[in-house]
Order: sequence, then structure tokens, then C-alpha cells
Amino acid sequence: MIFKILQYIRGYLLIRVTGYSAERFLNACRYRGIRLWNMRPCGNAYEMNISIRGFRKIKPIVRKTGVRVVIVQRSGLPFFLYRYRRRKLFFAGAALFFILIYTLSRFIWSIDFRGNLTRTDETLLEFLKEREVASGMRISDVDCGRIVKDIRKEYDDIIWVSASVEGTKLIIQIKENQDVIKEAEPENEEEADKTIQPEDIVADRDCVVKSIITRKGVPRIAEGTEIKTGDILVSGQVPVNNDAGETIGYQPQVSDADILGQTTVSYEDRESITYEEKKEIINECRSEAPVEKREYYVRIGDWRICFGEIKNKYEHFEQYSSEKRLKLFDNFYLPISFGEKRAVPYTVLEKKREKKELQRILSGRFSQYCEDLEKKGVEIIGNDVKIYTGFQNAEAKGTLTVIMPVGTKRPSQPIEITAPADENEQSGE
Amino acid sequence: MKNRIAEASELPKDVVMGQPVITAMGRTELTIENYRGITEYTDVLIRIQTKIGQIRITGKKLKVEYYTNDDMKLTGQIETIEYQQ
Repeated sequence: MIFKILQYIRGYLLIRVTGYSAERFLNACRYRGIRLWNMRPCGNAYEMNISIRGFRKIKPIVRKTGVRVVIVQRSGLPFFLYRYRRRKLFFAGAALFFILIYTLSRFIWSIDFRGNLTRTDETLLEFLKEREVASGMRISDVDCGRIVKDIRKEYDDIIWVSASVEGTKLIIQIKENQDVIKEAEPENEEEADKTIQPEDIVADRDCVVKSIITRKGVPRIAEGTEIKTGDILVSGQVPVNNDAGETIGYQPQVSDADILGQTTVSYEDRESITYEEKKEIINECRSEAPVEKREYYVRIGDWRICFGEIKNKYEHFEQYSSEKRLKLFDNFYLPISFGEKRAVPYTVLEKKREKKELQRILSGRFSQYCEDLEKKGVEIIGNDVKIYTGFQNAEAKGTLTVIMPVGTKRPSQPIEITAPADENEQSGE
Repeated sequence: MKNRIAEASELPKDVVMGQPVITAMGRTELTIENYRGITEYTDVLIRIQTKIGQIRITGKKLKVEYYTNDDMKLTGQIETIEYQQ
């Protein structure tokens, strides 16, 4: 292959050798180191390829061996250039091509991020743009070290960055620290401790308390207490008592407790007996195939050329569309896309469901609901949900008895000290 | 004498004695090294002069792919390879 390309660049001739001692000519060529190839007998003559340089050397051989040499065909770049030497625009175009290739290869045309899991490419691109690193910049202006430093400085959770230029692509490899969120939390908590915002746990629904485990704060309820929405379950104001057992102050705390309460949840679900079914309209001319309208288009920027049309006179139709964008190499997207739109008209048929099917649908949905509850940590201890079928609808109705976590946090109101305490005693805390 | 030296020194005979080397690939390709020249060439017969005599190659559509000082390559439908004194 390389040999053929070299041959083409250097140029070669197809010559026809006639004469009595043509073989002598061949041997003489060989003796002088002139390469001949693609030799074939052609009547009384031989045809063969010879390089331009070789051809210049054969004159003495021709005279000596008394053969006649005729040039049949000239091939290769030198002849091609000579033939088109007057076509200035062609050469200008070729030169422009090389200049363009060279110039364009001096710029960054795409930025590729690898290893970014928590931050999107767009966020990082936006950040780099602020630092004047964007596609279209000169490769000589890219300072990989600075990019690395900037990214490390801006994002704390990125623990390793590498920037490199490959061709016209800037590759930025990132390693993120997955533990950073876990580490950050205790810090926040410590900070929060300094300016503590006391919080109570209040009931978010009416229920009977089944169990309570308090980690911080003062429980106001015990197991078996009936509570109403809004009741304080755990107070964030921890009383501070003196030796006499009198409350002399309250220490603010963020209360923390696991409280389980027994309550009832009503459940209601409805399913219509009749339902609509879509049916494709079958084309009468072409049996089996449904009626369909297609439209193809080419979109360049905001400008688009369409082939076909999906407009139709049907009352109902489904529309599908898909589009594909052209790209060069891996991720050099061009502003040209191809797309297809498809409209499939259909008729609506009204159908009735069987009783068994309704039951199946409703009980399926109910068990899905129960599963979802259990995933949230809710324990179901009783249910009386029943399915009723009417004329138009089937209903699943009833209540569930459940044990579930209760309580939401709310800022605690400071409690005023009822019994005024002495200054001395306060300092002795 | 030369033969003996070649055998004793275990040098390849094509180098020491200029023996022709013929490498045939299937029936369609033939490479010949260490030859003196072509004495006859048509598309059914090629006679090649070597140090040990003539080699006759017959076949159909015989073509010389290349012909240089070191070796030559023949292609075509090769039928026979004969040695003649």
C-alpha cells in the first residue's frame, strides 16, 4: 500500500517495448537496477510499468538493444499536476485546504469530562467558561496546570483533576470524593450547636402511642397515651433543677426520638367499569397495514426542509417523532439533524370490564399501596378494605389499622421560668 | 570444491554458490531469486537463465509482477516448473 502511494507520488509510465531482442532489454534494465513491474506480453511486444527516474536512464539501453519504446500511459502525481497546471483555483483550493486544516487544528473544539458523577458536564463547562476556557480557544492558550488548580480551588469535593489536550480535544479527568457529604454533616452539627435552635417533636396525626424512645429532649407522653394533631410529644426545653428540686431554667435542645403510634388510615380507590380502547385504522387498500402518515425532515439550525406531511382528517391520532443529530467523531456535534414524524390515527372503542378483572386491578393496586406503606416503615396490623361494584364504577373502600412513625420537628418556644430563682444558685449549675 | 566449502561451513548455498531460490505460493504465485535473466517470455511460457541452467515455467496468463536485480515475481495459472541443463 505504502509502496503504491510512493509510486503514485513519484509518477510512473506504462511503456510498450517492441523489437527482436526485447528480453535483452529487460535483462539490461535489471542489470542497471531499473525496476520494472506489471510486465505482460502483448502480442509481439511487452507492456510494463517503469518509474520516471528509470525511464530517464533507459536511452542507452534502447540504443544498444535496438528496441522501440512507446509510452502508452502516464500516471502519478507529477503528470496530474502538470496536466492541471493552469487551474489556479484548484491549487488555491488545495492550498486553502491545508491551511484550514492547519489553522483549525490550532484550536480546542470540544471539552470532554470524565469521572464527574455528582456534577454535570454543563456545570463544569459553565465554570470553565467563566475562567475563559471554552471550545474555540487556541490550544496554545490552554494552561492545563491553571485549569487543574482552578477546579480544585472551586470544588472541595473534587480530590483529583487532570487536564490534557489530545488533538483538538481538551480532556479533563476528575476524581470526586464520595465521602465528603458524610464528613460535612458533623461539622454542620457542631456549628449548629453553638447557636442552638431548640426543636420540639409534635404529633402530625391523631393516634395512640405504642412506643417511644427518646434520645434528646423531655418526653411529654407515655406508651398508651392518646394524642391529637399538634400535641407536643417531646419537648426541646430540658428543665434544669436546683438541689431543692425547683426548676431554675431550661436548656434548649434539638429533640430526637422514635415514636410509633397506632392509627387508622382510610383507603379509597375507584376504577371505571367502562374503558376506552384505541384501535388502529386498517388501510382497506393494503390489508393488515394500519393507516399511517409519515414526514421526514432535515433541520439545519432553525431552518427545516420537510418531505411528506402528517396532517390528517382523523379525530384521534397518536404522534411519534424522533430526531438524530449529526456528529463528527466522538462528540463534535454539527447543527444538522434528521428526523421523522409519524401520525397513527385510531378509533376509540368503549369496552366493559369483567367483574373479575376489576377485582384484579383494584386488589393489585391495593397491595401495591400496602407495599409502599411498608417501605416507609409502616406496619399494617388490620385492614377492612372491601371491593364494591356499582353500575359505572367499582370501588375499593375501607380503613387500615397501622402502626407508623409519628411526629414532626417544630421550633420550640422557650418556657418562662415560673419560680424565680436566686442568682447564686444559677451560677452553681 | 565450492559445494564442499558450503557444506562444511553450513552457509546457505544460495549465498555461497548462487543457486536459484524458487518460492511457489500455491499455483498462482512464484518468486525467483538468484537468476541471470529472462531468455524468453510469453504469456504461456517463461524461460529463466540461472547458474545451474534454464528453468522453464509454463502456465496461462503468466505475468511478471516485478522484475528487479534481486528477485522477480510471477503470477498467473502455473502448470509446470522444469529444470533444463
